[in-house]
Amino acid sequence: MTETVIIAEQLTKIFKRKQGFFGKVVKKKAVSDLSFEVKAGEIVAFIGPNGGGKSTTIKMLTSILYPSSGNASVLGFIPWKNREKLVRQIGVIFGQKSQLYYHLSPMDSYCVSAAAYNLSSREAKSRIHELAEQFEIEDCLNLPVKNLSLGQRMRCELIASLLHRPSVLFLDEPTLGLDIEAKHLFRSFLLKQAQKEGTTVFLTSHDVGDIESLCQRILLINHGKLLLDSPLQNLKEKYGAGQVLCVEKKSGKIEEISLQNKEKISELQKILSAQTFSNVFVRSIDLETVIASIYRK
Amino acid sequence: MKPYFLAVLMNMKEQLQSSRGGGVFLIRVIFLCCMIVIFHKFWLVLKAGESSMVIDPVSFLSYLTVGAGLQFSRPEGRVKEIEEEVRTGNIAYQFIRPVHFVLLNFCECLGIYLIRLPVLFCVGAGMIYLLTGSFLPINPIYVPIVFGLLILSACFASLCMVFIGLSALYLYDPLPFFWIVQKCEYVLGGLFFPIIFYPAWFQKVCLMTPFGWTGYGVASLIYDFSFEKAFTVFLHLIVWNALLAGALIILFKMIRKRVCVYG
Repeated sequence: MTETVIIAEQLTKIFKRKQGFFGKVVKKKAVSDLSFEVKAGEIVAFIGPNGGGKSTTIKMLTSILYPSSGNASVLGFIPWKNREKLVRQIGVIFGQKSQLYYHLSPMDSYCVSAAAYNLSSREAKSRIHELAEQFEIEDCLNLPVKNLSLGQRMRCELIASLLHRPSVLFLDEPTLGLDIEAKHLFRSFLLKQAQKEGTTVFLTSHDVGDIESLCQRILLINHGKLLLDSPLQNLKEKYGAGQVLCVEKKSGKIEEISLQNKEKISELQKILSAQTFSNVFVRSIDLETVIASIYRK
Repeated sequence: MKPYFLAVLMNMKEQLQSSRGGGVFLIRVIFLCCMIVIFHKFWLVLKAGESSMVIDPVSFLSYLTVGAGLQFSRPEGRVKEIEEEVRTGNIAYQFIRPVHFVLLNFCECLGIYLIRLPVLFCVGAGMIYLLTGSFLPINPIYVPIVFGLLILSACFASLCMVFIGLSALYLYDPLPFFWIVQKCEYVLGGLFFPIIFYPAWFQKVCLMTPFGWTGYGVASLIYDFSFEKAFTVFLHLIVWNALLAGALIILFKMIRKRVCVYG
């Protein structure tokens, strides 16, 4: 049986803010009774609109924030109680927050990180070269970080996060600002690495490309509540991501008919029999449209 | 302690490799040289008007080199970086790394001092020789002791930098706090004039603060060295460093609690 590495049970976080010096305390529920489990080796997309509670949840799971109520466990540790043990077993990339010294080479930064994770210099060197070879950035290891492209820098950041062979990797907008080619490379390296070492990946991204190419499962959160927990394939089928038949009438108006909507089929038959159309074509509905429609609901 | 030791080394390396840092440092070196020249001229004028001086020009310029060297080595940029991390909330992401934020930043500041201090010290000594034809008024075998104490002063200054940066959580803009500390260093630490020129009561006040020891205490050893005095300075520096480190740890715990509870 596959081991469960991340457990959240009715996780709740309420922020209290005082309005003015003598003002009353205002409470805001950022995360509300959130429950889910992630198995070892899974690559999960944790998505939601801005202000939906994603970052607060990740911060609770990575020991940055204490919850107001509920429980959580990552690799068997309660994050906010076993911070020091937990941080040695997880890897994180938070947006554009760099772990590398800007004026020095990635190799120099890795030396400090390796020492922080108690890796021997021999062990660290072989790991760095193994990852650099895999991520195709061996030539960049000794160049100053400031001279690297954003794509190379992100791959270097990923190496810094993977140096200590973390069992769980938390990624928050890892491809933000990368061009298409760099995004593609980053995703393929991440996928290869996760499959090779069985790393569990907990990914937050607004880029649907990241989700589609990396994740098997989606956790969708809004207003602090879990709206959906579904395998990616099921989501597409259930919410109609896929194909739509478009009938262009002679008047120029285009009518879209979902091939899963049985009520619309009779309408389609009517249009076809009346021969009032000038063109018929199939259009794909992308995942982004589906996710946006779920947010709206 | 290995990551912290490496952090010191990496910051020393970064100082040498960063062209921007190098440029800023060069300006500091030029400024120190100008200051020594101006004070040398100033002292010559004073000497012409008064036959018996409390302190001779070489001693005074050496004192100035040590005191100003410590000031000009200050990594102000780190204060801004820490302040920025506190203000933006990015400090929270530092908690996920298996290193102590305060200790790491302290080591990074110290790494910068360890490159800047010896360079400024040597440049200052060279300038004094050019202007007066004399070497530093201290037996060379005592220089390592003075330099060791200077590093302890740099430790205190590094702790100050981290403290000021972290205070952004409560002050929002800690720049006025930074200015107050800086002016205290100038006045109470006797940066431009040894505190022996001050009235007796004010000398006592200066020595009741850490700045009297980090500034005047260490710098005066360059012209008036004795083991007894060096030991007294050492003890005071240890005590003030320990007190500030304690205060810093309390401040950091408060910040961590606030970040962990309120986000």
